[in-house]
Amino acid sequence: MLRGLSERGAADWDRLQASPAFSQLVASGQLIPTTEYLGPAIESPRGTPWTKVLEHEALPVVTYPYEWPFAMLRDAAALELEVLATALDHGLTLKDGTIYNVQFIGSRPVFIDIGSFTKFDTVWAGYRQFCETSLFSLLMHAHLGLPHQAMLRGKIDGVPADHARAVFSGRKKWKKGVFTHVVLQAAAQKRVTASSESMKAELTKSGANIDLAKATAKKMRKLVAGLEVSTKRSTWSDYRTTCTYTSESAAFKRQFVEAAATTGQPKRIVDLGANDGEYSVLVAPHCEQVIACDFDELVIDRLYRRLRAEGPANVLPLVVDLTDPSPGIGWANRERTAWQERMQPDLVLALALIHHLVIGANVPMPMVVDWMRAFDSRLVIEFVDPDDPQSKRLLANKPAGLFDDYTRERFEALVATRFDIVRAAEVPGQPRKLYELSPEA
Amino acid sequence: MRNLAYLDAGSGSMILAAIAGGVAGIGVVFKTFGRRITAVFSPAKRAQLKAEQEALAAAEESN
Repeated sequence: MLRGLSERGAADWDRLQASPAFSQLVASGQLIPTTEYLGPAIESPRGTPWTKVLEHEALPVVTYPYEWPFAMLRDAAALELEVLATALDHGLTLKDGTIYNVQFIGSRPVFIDIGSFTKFDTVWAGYRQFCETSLFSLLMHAHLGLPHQAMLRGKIDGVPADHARAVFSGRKKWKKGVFTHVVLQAAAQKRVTASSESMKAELTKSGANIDLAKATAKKMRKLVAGLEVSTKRSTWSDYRTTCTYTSESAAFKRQFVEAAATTGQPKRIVDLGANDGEYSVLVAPHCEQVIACDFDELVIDRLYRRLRAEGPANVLPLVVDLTDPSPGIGWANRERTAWQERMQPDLVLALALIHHLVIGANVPMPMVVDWMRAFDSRLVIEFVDPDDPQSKRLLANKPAGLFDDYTRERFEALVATRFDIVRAAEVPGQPRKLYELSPEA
Repeated sequence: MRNLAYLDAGSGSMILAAIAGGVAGIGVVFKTFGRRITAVFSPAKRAQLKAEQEALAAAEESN
């Protein structure tokens, strides 16, 4: 991953590289490892060559805050403030405060924006952006139970202070962190009309210095790290205890899945409908990266906390509604790309999923199979027969006869024209069948 | 009518970046604004300040 620097950017890089902050942050894993690129000159979009070009260690996959559960957003925000604090300790600061400067390698957050480091001048200029792209969402999620994903996905710049202010009415404004960061900030933004530059000068004249910026970073880090959601039961959080698998059929399923993961040396495995991550964790030792996707935020949040505590380190949990995955947003819909474009798996797991898409979400089965074919990778899929208790539960909510074409025969016919069937096996004692498929050449 | 597109919301936030640092930050902000700080959060004081500024501007114009 290359990054071109202008003259000013190159000066900032030289300053950062010479600072102990850089080696310290890279060694602790908080900052993406970066070196100077010494290959042939690269032209910038302005038509002149870049002053310098940097080479970053490539991320396994790019993900966005609207795909992270609460604890991931919180930890990403805390990391950003820790990076800021380390920078300030060495006379540097961060130019901006966007949460998009943080990415995840497995379940570990890492700061990726080398270009954000610059010489300290006055109060943290990234404060507003930090609030808009993470703090406000965290406060709304923690204090009011409003999930942040829809808000951050809706607007690339995040939530403006006056929007956050509108939801913290009455006594709610006295919740931790709200009065200062939301209420006062919204008021100040409306009423202070000085330019940022003149404000900077005025604050410096009045004694704003690096110690004050350090105190801000420290206090905000404490606030962010202390935010927590109230835990409640979700649709899926007790799935493992209510699902219909016996130990014999579960062992069989695990074996089938693991056999697929140990052949063909997949680099990246994407687990669709990962639930508590049992199969993601199972295949993790056999590949570089597993992306565990599920639409249930609480289940993914729990998985993330477990992965952080116990590993494996190469599983990245994501909140993704497969019937409405993240679109491309921002400039020309290209600044943040769509979820499916970023996945590029070598192996997809779709276990106990298809009945949810076809019966639960009313997606016609040919479309589901086409969509799975579009990943252009090997696929392990479990077909759940209509007479399976879980299918019956879904069918019970639907008019009779609507899903008469949801049969194993029809599924196999659809698969046969799009994939080569590598292996297939009945799950012992269950009206379910497992298939390993490879895209037809 | 003010054109909102040219408003710099960052300057208002900068004050809060200072306040978020605690007592020292509040001190800095008070020093910056003097009595203007109360006007930032109180419509009545703001109106008073605005009237004073307008009177000042009118006085300058007549000079």
